[in-house]
Amino acid sequence: MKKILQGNIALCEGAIDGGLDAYYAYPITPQNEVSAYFAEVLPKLGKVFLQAESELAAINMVFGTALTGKRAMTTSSSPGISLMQEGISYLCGCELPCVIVNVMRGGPGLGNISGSQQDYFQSTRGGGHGDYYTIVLAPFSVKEIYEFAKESFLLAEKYRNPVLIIFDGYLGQMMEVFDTESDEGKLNVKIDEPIDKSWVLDGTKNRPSRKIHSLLMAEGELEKLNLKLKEKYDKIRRDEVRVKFYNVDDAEICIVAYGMSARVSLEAMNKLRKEGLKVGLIRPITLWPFSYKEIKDVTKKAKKFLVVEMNLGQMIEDVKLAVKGEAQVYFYGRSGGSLVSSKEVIENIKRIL
Amino acid sequence: MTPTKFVKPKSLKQTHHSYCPGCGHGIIHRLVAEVIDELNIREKTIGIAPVGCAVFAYDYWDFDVSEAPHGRPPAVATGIKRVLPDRIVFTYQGDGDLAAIGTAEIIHAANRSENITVIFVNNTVYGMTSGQMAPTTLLGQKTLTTPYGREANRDGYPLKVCELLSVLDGTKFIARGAVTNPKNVIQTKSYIKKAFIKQIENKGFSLVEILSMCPSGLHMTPLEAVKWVEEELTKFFPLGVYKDV
Amino acid sequence: MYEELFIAGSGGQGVLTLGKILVYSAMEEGKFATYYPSYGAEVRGGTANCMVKISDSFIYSPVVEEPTMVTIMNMPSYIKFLKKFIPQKFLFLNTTLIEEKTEIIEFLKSHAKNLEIVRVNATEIANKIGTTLVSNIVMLTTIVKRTNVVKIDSVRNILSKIFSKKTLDINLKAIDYVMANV
Repeated sequence: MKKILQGNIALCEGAIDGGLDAYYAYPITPQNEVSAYFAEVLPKLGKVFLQAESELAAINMVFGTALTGKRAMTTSSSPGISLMQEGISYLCGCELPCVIVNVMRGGPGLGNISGSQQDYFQSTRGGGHGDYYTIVLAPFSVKEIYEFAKESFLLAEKYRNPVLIIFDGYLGQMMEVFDTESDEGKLNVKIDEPIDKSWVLDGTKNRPSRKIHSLLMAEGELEKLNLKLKEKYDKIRRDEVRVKFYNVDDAEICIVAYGMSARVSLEAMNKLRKEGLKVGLIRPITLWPFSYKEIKDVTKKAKKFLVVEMNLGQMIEDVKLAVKGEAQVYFYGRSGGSLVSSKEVIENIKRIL
Repeated sequence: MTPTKFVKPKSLKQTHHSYCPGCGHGIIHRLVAEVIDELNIREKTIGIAPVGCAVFAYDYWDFDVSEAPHGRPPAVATGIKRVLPDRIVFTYQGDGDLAAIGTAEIIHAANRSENITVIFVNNTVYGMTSGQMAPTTLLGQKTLTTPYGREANRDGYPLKVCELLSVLDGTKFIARGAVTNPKNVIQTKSYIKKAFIKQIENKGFSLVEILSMCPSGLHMTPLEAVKWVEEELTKFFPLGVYKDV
Repeated sequence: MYEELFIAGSGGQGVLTLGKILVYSAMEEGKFATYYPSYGAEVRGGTANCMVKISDSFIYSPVVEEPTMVTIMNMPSYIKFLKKFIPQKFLFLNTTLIEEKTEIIEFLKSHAKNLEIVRVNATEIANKIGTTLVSNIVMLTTIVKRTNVVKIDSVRNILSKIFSKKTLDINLKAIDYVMANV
């Protein structure tokens, strides 16, 4: 069945269909449609909606709900996500599942309200203090926004870890027709063993008391936690990488891009293929864990990569790590909320080839 | 007696605002500019703009102005005043900036009796982001995030900033005005002047809360908004001087 | 089929609604469609424009770079956008509010020799029908009538789903008028 939705609204519908229990957030452009929608719909469903006094408060409200084992989500945009970094560090240290969404805008500082991809480092390198990672999902269509939002809670609970969904403001604002029955965009999160809820704080009736904390002062205790987290992150690296390939089998040059950059680059790839140029595209879906191995495999054939981002060079560092010198990595990007254009991608590719 | 010319204050730039028709910011920007001119402090004034509709205030005033992250102007003002105590430092903040995300900063700047002036514009909605609930939104008032009306048990009660801050020993001048009619406007200007004089005399923290109109956020015509602020809002947020020590 | 549309006007002229009706209609007909809106800094009275793509197959980029059709509803948009968004097939102009400039026409024709310029007195016609608020529908009907980018019955269908009775009546009246007279 065909349906049309705005990106930000698809996020809401996906979250509700995925079992959202509580939503806390503070207004910030370009994602205000989310709280307006939830303010109207969640009370009718008996779920919690609360406009927090700040993003700092919002992430801590999420922390609170996460302690109880219920499904909490917050959304914001770049400057607000900066405020949440402390909370995210705590959520990871305490191993609490939740979903955080960053509808990226131009920065740094107050920036502007246009879409960008300038928070790649903030999202994948931790952002807050300490050795931790959040699973980072990068949808590139309204359908993917819906499906990722829907399955993100399960993914978060599987690993007792926050899941971060990031997409640029353009995807959030645009509307797109999609097929509700297609399998496109589904994460297909595999649950091999029942989800552990033995840590949940909801009152000691019929059970011994529990505690949740990330402060570990006793000798060796904190290192133990960090090693436990590392084991978890290594498992996520093995099992949860998602990446999509377009025309890479015979490609001489591969574009690497996600989100709106991928959409624009795919149009460029299409046009170039019609001219007979052997162009392919790699679209990372999980930005963390990153598809290092999968991209390295492509270097057997393609020796040139063009990384396209709406920033001045962030994911390119991961691509360079992936190819390990086996290929040349080039860059084309726009910043400050400006869109990349398929025309410029084509010019770049022709110049490189 | 020759009539005085109605001129633009020196502290106001010769540019067009982009504020909505009926918005109170235009009036309040001018009042601040007039007071600064009349007290002859333009050359030693540094203002801090908020995040909100008045984020562009630095394009309208003709003295030094900085932006600050949302809610942080009182902390930024502190940083300036502590190292340049002879300058006149003021913040200009909306209800989200001051009373939501910035509650810690305003309480502590007030508590330390920072020798700064705060102009607090209260229009009960978040205008810039399309009209969400503000801390000062009235019970029952419908906004983008209270589509069924603000409820005490879910969203809390409207925050009375003047009343709240007056309790702190560090606050020296607290007043609430409005800009809905000529009488109010003149009264509010006198409060603003008193507040800046407090700072000039090194007496400590001063704040003027100003009830203002946001026709866009309130989904009213400019005239309806003026009527609503004058008749409904002043009932809940009484005008007057709350503290003058 | 694959059409890229760029539509621009002032805030309040219904430019974004025009774009949305097009994509909803396209969806009704089983097509793929994307819609991307852009607003000027001012909330009211600023510029508004949207990018619409309609296609039989998956649309990769929702960003319009080389539009097949451009629609301009007011003078500031006429001056501002035609250097960047050069229509390849059709240019629809709301002549009520636009005073054409020869250098712009020449510039456009030099880039697209077969460009067809369709002039519609949209705001004036809307006024005659009853309200300038339907000038976007007058323009939309003209576009559909001339290019068949979607079917007019799909548009009628969509309007009946999104408008209340009173609004629907005047809009349908506008469609009927344009179909018969323009």
